Amino acid sequence: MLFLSSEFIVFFAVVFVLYWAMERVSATAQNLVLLAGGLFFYGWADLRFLALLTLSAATNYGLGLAIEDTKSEPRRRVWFWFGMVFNFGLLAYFKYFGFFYDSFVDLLNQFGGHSEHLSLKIALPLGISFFTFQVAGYLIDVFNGGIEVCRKPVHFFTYVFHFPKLLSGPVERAQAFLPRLTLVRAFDRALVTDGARQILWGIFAKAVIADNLAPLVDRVHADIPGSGGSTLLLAAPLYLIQLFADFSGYSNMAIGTSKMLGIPLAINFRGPLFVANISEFWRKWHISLTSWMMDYVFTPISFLLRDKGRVGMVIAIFITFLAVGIWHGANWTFMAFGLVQGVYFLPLVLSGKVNVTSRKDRWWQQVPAMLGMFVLMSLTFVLMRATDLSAAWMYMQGIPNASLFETPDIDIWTIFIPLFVFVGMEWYTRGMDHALQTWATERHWFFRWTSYGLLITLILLSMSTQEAGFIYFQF
Amino acid sequence: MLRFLLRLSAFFLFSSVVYVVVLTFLPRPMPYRVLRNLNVPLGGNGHNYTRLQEADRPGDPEILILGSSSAYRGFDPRVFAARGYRSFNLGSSSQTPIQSEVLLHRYLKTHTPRTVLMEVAPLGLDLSILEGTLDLVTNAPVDVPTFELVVDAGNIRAWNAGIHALGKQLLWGPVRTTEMADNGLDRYIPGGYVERRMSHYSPVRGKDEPIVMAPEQLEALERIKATLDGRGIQLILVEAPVTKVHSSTYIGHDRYVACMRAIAPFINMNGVLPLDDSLHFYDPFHLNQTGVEMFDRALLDTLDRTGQLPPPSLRNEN
Repeated sequence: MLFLSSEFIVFFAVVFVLYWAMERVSATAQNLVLLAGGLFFYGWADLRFLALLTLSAATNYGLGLAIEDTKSEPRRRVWFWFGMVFNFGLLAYFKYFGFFYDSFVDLLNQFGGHSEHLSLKIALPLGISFFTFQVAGYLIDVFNGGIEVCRKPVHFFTYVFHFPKLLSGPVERAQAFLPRLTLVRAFDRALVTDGARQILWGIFAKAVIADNLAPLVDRVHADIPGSGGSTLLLAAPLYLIQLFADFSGYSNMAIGTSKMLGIPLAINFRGPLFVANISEFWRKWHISLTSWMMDYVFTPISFLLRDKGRVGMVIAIFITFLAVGIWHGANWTFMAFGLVQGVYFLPLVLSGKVNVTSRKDRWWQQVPAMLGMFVLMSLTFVLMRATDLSAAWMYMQGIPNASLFETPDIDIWTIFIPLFVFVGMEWYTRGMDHALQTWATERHWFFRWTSYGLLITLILLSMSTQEAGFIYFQF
Repeated sequence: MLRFLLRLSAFFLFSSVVYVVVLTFLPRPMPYRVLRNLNVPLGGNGHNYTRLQEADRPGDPEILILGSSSAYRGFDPRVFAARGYRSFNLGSSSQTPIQSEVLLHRYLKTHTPRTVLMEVAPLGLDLSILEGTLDLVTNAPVDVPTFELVVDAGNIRAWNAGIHALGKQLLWGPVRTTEMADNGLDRYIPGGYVERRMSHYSPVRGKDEPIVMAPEQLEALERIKATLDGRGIQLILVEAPVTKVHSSTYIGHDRYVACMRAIAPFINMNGVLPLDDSLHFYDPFHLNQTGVEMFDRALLDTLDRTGQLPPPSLRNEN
């Protein structure tokens, strides 16, 4: 059940009305509506794994209680590490087992072995990466005393199965989410309306920008040897914009949907296409994942290596971004992507400017650095799109040749007007939670409604009519 | 919550007005490729605007031809005239029986043909009515039956084209334009036919395709038959020639033939003529002019032989 489907519209309308009708009853009643909606939503998407996720959620609920209630420190540690092995073991089995097995077989065969690749493909439960990181973060926080354990199973299951974030995030923290479930959520028209606006912008990004760019980019990646240098060079930023529009579009729809239920979620993007350095990029791209990695991977490792100075920092950054890369999937391209990000951080680490934000006051002073970052990240994200490392290498090799000066073989004219509107609005509102946020205040209703009406019209005139899934579902 | 829902409803109503106003005032035709869901040029691929204008003019053709591009690119009124028949070709791109019915009813208001030759392509009986609807709604005056096609198409491109055309029609009247009779590739021949510049085809076999016959299309055919029977007009269904490599991809052709025969007299012109895939076609579905003339003469021979055509009026006049 994709956000952009008639099934979801009907489903959400029912949940919306039932949920707010429960406002007069109790918080528990509202939570039960959310929980039932989440179970139905996941069951509709992937019934095979509903039992698995329910079992996993129950296990984590129990482990949280066990960690909290066990007095003996060694036993607490046992419960904690059992939880980590359980969660990441499930993730490793479903997401990485086949890849590491096949890689191991390749290695053995290079040394004269005669082993065969795993013929059985292991189906990947939808949203397992997001699910795992949320429940693992919860156990870590309970173990460290960062949050109070959740004793109410309905609350915990509602957190885990909250349908707007269930399949592709944001990676929501328990300490932000769970307290909201204890009180009745009162209907806040401003919040609900802002959610609707955010959904509208998400639909524009996904249905118009991402889905129209997808076939253009796919065509180039399907025939890298046959594409000229200028075509490859143009397809790289188009893919970065496609990925951004796809995932930020999804995130905006997820966050907006949750806002309409009175529960704001973590922001996932904040103008990452317009940044002046790599550190800023990762503070604005997939924020919920990056901040998770910072808190649960980078910070503990850099604390462990605090005596090693900058070397320790470099090691922590490389491990963190390797984890970010691997999180995206079982492919050497993702690992290479993570390592390359680590390399980009080296100048900042060595000059002690990792956390420094560009201090130039005027936006136009930052434009050269922004353009440079945009080109750099466009070329780097080829690794995320390429099927394997050799394809990525072939792509890079294909750019610098005589065909670089030919007209690119990509017809972007059908998407030009919406692309201009999208990039322009993202630029204009780059400090905001979403592009339509500023439209909410200090403007006459007629102006606002006309703007939204024009955006809807542009969507209807330019949206892709081919149904397309979200890229991040595969992660 | 109720207030919010009321405001949301009001907003959607307001947005609908914005949508209609914008579509009404967008230029026609839209510059090519600017808006991907509103890019149907006047005339389409087959001079449909000119054809529909000609269809509205008085005349007395005894043979009316309906069908898809295989009709307006396959039934040449000059060949029919040479045998003494006045004919008019009301084919249009991707026309299916659902759209033929709309065109037929409009045509019968002012004309009384004695025979209708209806080209029914085996792969044109599914429910893909979008392209044919876009062609009609862009080039013909929008009336209730045409707008019903828009609704039935159930596609945003059909809605955009329908509202764009209707809005302009309400404000400025039916579409008026001048279409080039010869665009270098195709030449419009009075009588509704489009002649392709002579070319040949290198046949390539595609993947096998099952013939899908949607009940809605078959019902439209039945209604067409009933309408024509009620007026004493003869309906003859024709399967026009396609390349051998293409016809070999059909799955379920026997069932299709049986189904057509159950509705009206049916003539399959595939395999009847010594047509060569390279010499007599310019693509898998369309004959070149040499092929068209062979096909039309053979079709008229068949109809003559079986006594299915009325006496030719032109010959009588001569």
